[in-house]
Amino acid sequence: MLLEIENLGVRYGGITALNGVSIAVAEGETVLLVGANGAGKSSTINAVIGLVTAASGRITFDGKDLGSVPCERRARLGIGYSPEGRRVFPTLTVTDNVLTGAFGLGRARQREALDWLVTVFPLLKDRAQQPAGQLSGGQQQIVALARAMCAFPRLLLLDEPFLGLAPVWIEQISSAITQLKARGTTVLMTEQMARPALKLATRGYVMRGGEVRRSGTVAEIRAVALAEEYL
Amino acid sequence: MEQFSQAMIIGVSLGAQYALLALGFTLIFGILGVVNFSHGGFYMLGGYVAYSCVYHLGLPYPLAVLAAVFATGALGYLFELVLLERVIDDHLSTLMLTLGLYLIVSTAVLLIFGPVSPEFPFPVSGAWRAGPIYVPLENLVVLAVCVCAIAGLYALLFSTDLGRGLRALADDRDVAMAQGMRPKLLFPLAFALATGLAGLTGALVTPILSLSPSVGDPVLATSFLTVILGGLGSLGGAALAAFVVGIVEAYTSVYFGGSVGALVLFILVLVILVFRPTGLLGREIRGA
Amino acid sequence: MAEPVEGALPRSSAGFSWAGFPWAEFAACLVFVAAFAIPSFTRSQLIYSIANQALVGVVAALSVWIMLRMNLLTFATPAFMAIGGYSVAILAPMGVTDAFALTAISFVVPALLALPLGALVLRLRGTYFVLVTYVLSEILQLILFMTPDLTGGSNGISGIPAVTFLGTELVSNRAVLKMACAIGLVACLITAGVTRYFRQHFAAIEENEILAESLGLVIWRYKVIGFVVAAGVAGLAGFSLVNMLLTAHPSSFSSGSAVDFIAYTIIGGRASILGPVVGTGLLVWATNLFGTQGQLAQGMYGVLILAVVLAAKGGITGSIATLFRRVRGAN
Ligand SMILES: Nc1ncnc2c1ncn2[C@@H]1O[C@H](COP(=O)(O)OP(=O)(O)OP(=O)(O)O)[C@@H](O)[C@H]1O
Ligand SMILES: [Mg+2]
Repeated sequence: MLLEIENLGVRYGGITALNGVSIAVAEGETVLLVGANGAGKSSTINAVIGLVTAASGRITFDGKDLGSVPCERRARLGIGYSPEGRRVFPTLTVTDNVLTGAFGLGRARQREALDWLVTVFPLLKDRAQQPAGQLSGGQQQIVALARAMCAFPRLLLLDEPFLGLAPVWIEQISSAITQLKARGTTVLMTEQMARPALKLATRGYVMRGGEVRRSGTVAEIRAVALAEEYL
Repeated sequence: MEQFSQAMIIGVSLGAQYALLALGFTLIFGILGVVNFSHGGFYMLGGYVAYSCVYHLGLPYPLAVLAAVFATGALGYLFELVLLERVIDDHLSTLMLTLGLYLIVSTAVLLIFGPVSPEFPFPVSGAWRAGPIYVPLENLVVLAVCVCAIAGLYALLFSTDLGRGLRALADDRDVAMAQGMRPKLLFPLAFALATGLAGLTGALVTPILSLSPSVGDPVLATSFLTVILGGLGSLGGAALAAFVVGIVEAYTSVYFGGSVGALVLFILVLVILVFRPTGLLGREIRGA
Repeated sequence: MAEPVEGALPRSSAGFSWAGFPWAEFAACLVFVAAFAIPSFTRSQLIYSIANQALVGVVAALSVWIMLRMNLLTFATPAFMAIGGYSVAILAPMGVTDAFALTAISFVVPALLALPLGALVLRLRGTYFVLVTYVLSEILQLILFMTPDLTGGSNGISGIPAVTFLGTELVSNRAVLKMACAIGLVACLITAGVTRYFRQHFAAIEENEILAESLGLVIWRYKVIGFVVAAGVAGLAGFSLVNMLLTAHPSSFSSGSAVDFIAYTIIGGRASILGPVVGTGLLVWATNLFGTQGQLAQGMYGVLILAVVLAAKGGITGSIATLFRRVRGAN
């Protein structure tokens, strides 16, 4: 297993957001977390990247316990992160935004990554010098995704990458994720409206009230999601 | 006409030195969210370090200036790392700490060097003339160094990983950390960069203007003025505003005398603060 | 925390209990009452002078403290002190020398000016508020220099006639000191009254302004009240200073002196009114220990500020209170 989450608990002050969540992601998989608002999807992702601390349980990445690894060092282990709501750096240019994803890897590797990303997302070239804060939502999502992909991470965390996007953007982002998967990246993504994400996923988990309710193949998840009206 | 061009030259060289000060000040606010009340203290310290390197260690002036940059940068680095970092998210506490540091630094200088201004002349004298235009060489040297330092700072901030990391941390600390930027490493560097610039300005400018333990106060006031005018945290705004302040100051002192210019600038700043806290260029980097 | 704050405010009239008695405020006022006795114990000019400085400082520190109740740090204290002080210095030569009238004037004039000013600057919070108050006191300095006809410009106003109390002139050092005690007592009573009366509102603002506002508290109104009273109290400090020096000079109200008042308050402890009182007393006294090396006191303030911010959050009074509680808890 590349990523193993065991019995994860997360609390915000008095509120319990996650309770005994266990999720496993094997190398090469694309795993989808579905669930309604407040189900605990983002909390799970953020616990993996280290932006929220686990109150209980264990997260291991490539056999290494992440408990003692601060957030700033997890990127270096090979974890890429695209947060909910895009959160691009608004005053940085598009190029600078993308390059922050390969912080400290040296100019040669940054160049190489940028050259590849530009072929995947032509937008990155057309808007290279524009502050990212001035882009549309879909464009910002592309930038956030490119930023997360820039260091060619082994595990890519995508929190609602399709939220509120027009079909053109969804297609572009789906194809980019497919290309990155072809290069050997493992993906853990969340989605409320699961339709486009289900096309990419190999497996999934259904979350509700801070717990994992179901796990299974894409077809099973699709059935559950249909029944519970996520689609 | 001669008076006019003379005022322009004074204004521009004042502007260049204000820009160095304001860039450091705004950098600290933009990236760390800290209002650095010790900024004038680092300027003053830079002057005294350069002075003692020249007169006690016998170093040539350019080396003394370098020493001043390193000394003030190192003090800034340690201060951020050891003290400021502990309370970095509480604006009142960070403000009080920088205020405390300023009081300590200026008292230490007072203890060591006494209240009297030391004799510390600029090593280059003479002037450059072209027709009616007359520029003291010392102003030219200061202007050249300031322009180089500003260019260097821009290069650092806009085309290196360090600069990109600092700006990203200023925009969104959490996401930047998730990309692998370490505030504990970068914040002290940013602080050192800013205080080193203040030290550089002090080492360059105090031989021309004056050096005493209290020179930090007006420097702080000018930095406030410039940085608010330019929009707190905005680098371009600070640089632009610095030249505006320098030129306004030069012209009003030539044509009106006294403090009319300062009053106008301060009232302008008050109005900006209340109605448009984003400054002249209207770009906001962070809330307070 | 769901009920609206307004409804949650207990009206203090419901029964009397010693636990609710404002001990700190009572003790602070007692300090001023006790200060009246100084002239009966000693004739030392040094002690008179220290006591006078402390009495001016403590009133200014009370003004800083009122603002800190709302989590606002102000550098504008010297500006309002100047307005109060100069009002006295301008009116006294015109024949207004009555102690009561001058006290009222020195409170009311800065308070009235603070009303429109507060409406403007209280839109700002945190760092921006600090900066705007700093700018205010710089502006006032410049105005003092630029209005020589009214304020004497860089010469200030000297030869101010002595204050009269029920017709007798307060000229002797002892009388001046007693006047300072009286001003201090008035300032302390006003400060205690306002901060006690609005303590729930101020606490809500200090705690979490946005939350308080969403719970239905009209933040803006209470902030303006606090600002206006703080300005008036600063004006009293200005009166006290002018009364002590018998001159009004721009250098007495420099924006740098704001740092001293902030230091007194923070080091003394910002949690209770005793903080500024104790802090000012101790620091002014300690400053005088440096004798002619008075400037060195600034360094001591610096060290103490660092210590309070990093180690002893409650300042002197807060630390004593903690210690006291711990000792009592151990028993
Ligand atoms: N910063 C926070 N402070 C307090 N509570 C929080 C915080 N973030 C999340 N929560 C709570 O934790 C629970 C899980 O939230 P989380 O964001 O993980 O859900 P989600 O599945 O990502 O929802 P959404 O689809 O709306 O993004 C929710 O009840 C939410 O209210
Ligand atoms: Mg979410």
